[in-house]
Amino acid sequence: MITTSAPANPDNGTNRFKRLQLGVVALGVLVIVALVGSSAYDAWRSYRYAAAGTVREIDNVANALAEQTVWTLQAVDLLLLDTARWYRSESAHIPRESIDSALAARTAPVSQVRQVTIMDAEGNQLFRSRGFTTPNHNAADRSYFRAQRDDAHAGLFMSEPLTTRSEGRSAMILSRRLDDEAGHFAGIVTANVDLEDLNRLYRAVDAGPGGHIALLRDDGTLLVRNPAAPGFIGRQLPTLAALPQGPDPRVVNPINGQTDFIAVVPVRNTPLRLAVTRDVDVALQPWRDETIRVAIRTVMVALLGGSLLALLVRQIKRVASGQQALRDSEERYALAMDGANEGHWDWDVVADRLYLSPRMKVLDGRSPDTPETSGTEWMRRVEMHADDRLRFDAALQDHFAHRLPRFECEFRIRHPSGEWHWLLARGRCSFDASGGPSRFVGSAIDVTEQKQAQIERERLELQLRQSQKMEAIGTLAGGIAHDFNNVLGAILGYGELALQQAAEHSDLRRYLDNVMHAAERAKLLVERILGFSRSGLGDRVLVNVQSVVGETLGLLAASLPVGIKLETRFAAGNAGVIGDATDLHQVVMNLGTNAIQAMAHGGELLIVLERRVVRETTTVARGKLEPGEYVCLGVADTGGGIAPAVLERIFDPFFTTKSVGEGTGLGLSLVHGIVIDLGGAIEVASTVGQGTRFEVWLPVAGEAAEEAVEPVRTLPHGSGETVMIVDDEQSLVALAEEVVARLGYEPVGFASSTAALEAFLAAPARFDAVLTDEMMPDLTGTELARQIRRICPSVPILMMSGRAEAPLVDRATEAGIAEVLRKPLHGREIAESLARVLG
Amino acid sequence: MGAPRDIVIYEQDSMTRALLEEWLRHAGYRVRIGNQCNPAGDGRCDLVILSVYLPKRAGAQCAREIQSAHAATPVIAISGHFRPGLPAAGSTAQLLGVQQVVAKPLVREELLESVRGILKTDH
Repeated sequence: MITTSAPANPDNGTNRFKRLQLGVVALGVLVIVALVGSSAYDAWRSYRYAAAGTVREIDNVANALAEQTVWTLQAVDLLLLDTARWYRSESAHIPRESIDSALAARTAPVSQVRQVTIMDAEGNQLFRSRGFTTPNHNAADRSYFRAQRDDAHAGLFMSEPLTTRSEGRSAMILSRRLDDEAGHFAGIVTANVDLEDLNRLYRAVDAGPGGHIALLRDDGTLLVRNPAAPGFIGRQLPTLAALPQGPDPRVVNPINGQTDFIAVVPVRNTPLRLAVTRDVDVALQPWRDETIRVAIRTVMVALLGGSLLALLVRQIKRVASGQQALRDSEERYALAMDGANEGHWDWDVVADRLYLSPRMKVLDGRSPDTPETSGTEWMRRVEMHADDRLRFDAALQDHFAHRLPRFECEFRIRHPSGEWHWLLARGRCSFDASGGPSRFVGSAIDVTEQKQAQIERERLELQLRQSQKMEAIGTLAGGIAHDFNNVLGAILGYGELALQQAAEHSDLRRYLDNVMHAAERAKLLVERILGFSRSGLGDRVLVNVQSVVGETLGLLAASLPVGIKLETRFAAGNAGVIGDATDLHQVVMNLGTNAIQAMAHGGELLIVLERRVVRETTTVARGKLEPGEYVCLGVADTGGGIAPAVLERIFDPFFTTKSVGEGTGLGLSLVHGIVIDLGGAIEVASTVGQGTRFEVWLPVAGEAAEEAVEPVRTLPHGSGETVMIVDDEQSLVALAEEVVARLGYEPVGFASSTAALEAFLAAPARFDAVLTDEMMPDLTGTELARQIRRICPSVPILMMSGRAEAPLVDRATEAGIAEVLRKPLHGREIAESLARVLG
Repeated sequence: MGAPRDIVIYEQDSMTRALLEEWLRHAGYRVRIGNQCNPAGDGRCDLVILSVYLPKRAGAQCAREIQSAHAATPVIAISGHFRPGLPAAGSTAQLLGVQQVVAKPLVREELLESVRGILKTDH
């Protein structure tokens, strides 16, 4: 039936949220790493700028100072060269005592020179710009002297820092060679440059925070340093004098042990180098401060980002778990719905939007993926059973109008396959402020099986009630029959005795005759009641069903109206049932007659007789079939069919659809009584407009030898002779007419004996034979016969009677009746009798 | 015909009983009315006519007592419960353990024929 909707894969949602969470974390980490990386790059760049800037700065300072030093020393050299030239050319012309003062005058403008001295070739001081306030010293051992003496092209020589012997001051001596006319070494001229003066020059320049300025000889001898480093003057510090390599050179400062940036510039035309250093720590302090600020900022931003990330992840987790809970809840709901096999709907009444669960669509008989529709569209589309539509609409309207607290309705809908399904729908509507329906939600379940079971149960109950009713009627009828038969016995018995005493043709005789007729009719009625109620005792022998059915059909075939085709299929062989052959005859006769009467406009009567085996207990329309072997008699017509309401009651005694006087209403109840009595059951199926089929199931009790049944066609036929038929029961007249017509005679039926007599008197020659019932009001059969004989003694008269007893036969013979036939009429008997009397 | 035959009738219904008596006496039989409560005291006879009222258990019991009291005597059972047209000496008669059955309402000729038949074959 029902396709079960697969529960959603629970991992899908979880995975999606895990992926989302992972993505968010990765993105967050990436952003933080990018931030940190960018900050680090910035720090590295600004470090590069700071270092390069510092180096450039100190290099500039070093260049400027070196140039300044060049100028200072060039002035001293000029003084020395000029003095040397002056001394060679002029000293011979001026007195020796005024030479000192002349030197002083020359020296005075060059402030950085403290004293100019002229020495002879042995190193003795000849003249001094400041005179000889101090003793004269020999300088032959001094470097500045030896350099000039030993090398004629020494040029300007600069000494190491030394303490002057004349004044005891820290100074540097610059010397030039003096030559005589012959070009021999004649002494030297020296200038005493005070290092303090140079230092003053450097002090005026700001080397910046942590900066140092040093003047060194190119062999690394420290000459001047600012700030002062007294202990290091004159010491060799080659690291400071080495020309730096690389982009931002740095050196471990030998004076204070710190790492410094360094710039070294050679002082042009001198063996001097000027070094400017700056403490790396100090120089990079602003960068470091900035970097720390940037780092703090970065860390703060990263922390903020991290926190946001954590919050986001947590939120995602909460949403995910919320989603999971929702999914779980939905899944539980779906599973519960699925377990209960329920479908549900949700109808937005205002917008007329209808949601149907897949199961609900299946219940409607559609595929689970049918597109959504509207409520009104659904109502229009669903094929609801006509009997349920009004009830459904009423239930809905009652609920929408607040008359019912809940909507609940059982109804049938037809699936596209054509099957009807019972649905039980329950729902509840929510209402808006004005009380109008806004949303209608509910569920439905297929209750077809329960309904069918209920219908089956009701059918069984009905059947039980039916059989109880039949039993009660039987008991009642039995009781009545017993007492009534005694009463009738007395009436008939004494009536007969009285008749014997009554004089022929006397009034008394006529009265008693009528009493007897009435009593006979009453007797017939009691017989019939006993028949259908089955309270009477009948014979029980093994009866060959097929031969009895065949025999009865012989009669039916003879009386078949024009336009009705009889078809028989006999396949029961010698199947025998325990019972009374007359009973079986009654069954076939009644069912057959009913079928023929149902086909007033012609049709086909199909009689099937076959053996069937029932495997399991089956309930049919009337009775129950236990497992076993059965002989099944099917009587099917193509008549008007029986409406369901009528079908329920057709077996009830005295229930008839025929007009009053046409039927007793005992036919089918007699069939029912007989069949139940034989241990059988009856099934009936009817479609209005198409026909009805009765099935009589009788348990097979054994094999019964078949009696020779004469085929219908061997019956003697007439040749159009007119036969008058008289019976006060119209149906019997019709039956007899049919039988007679089938046999090739021309029947003329009368339901009243007086009417028949009048017709005969009017045209006695018209009738070739008379067939009359005995018991009729006004005029009995024998009386009618007597009257007819009086007019026309030659016409043969046949009598038919329910009881062909001796007194009746005697009376009939006396009245001139040729033969007495026993009811019910057998086609063969009639055929043979008519053939005899007319032949 | 020799000595008149004795017939004992067991019938609760007085009208039927009177009618039977009438018919049988008229046909030349000696008729006695049996005492249902003490059938043994009714003495020997040639035929018993017994009305059977089947729906009541007491009725069936009563019938059996009467039958055993006249164990060697042929019995005709009459009843309103026999179906018309029932064979007189068929399976129903065997079932009841009687010679013949006759359905009510009784028809004089039919009953007398049965009686004659039994009493004739008896001798």
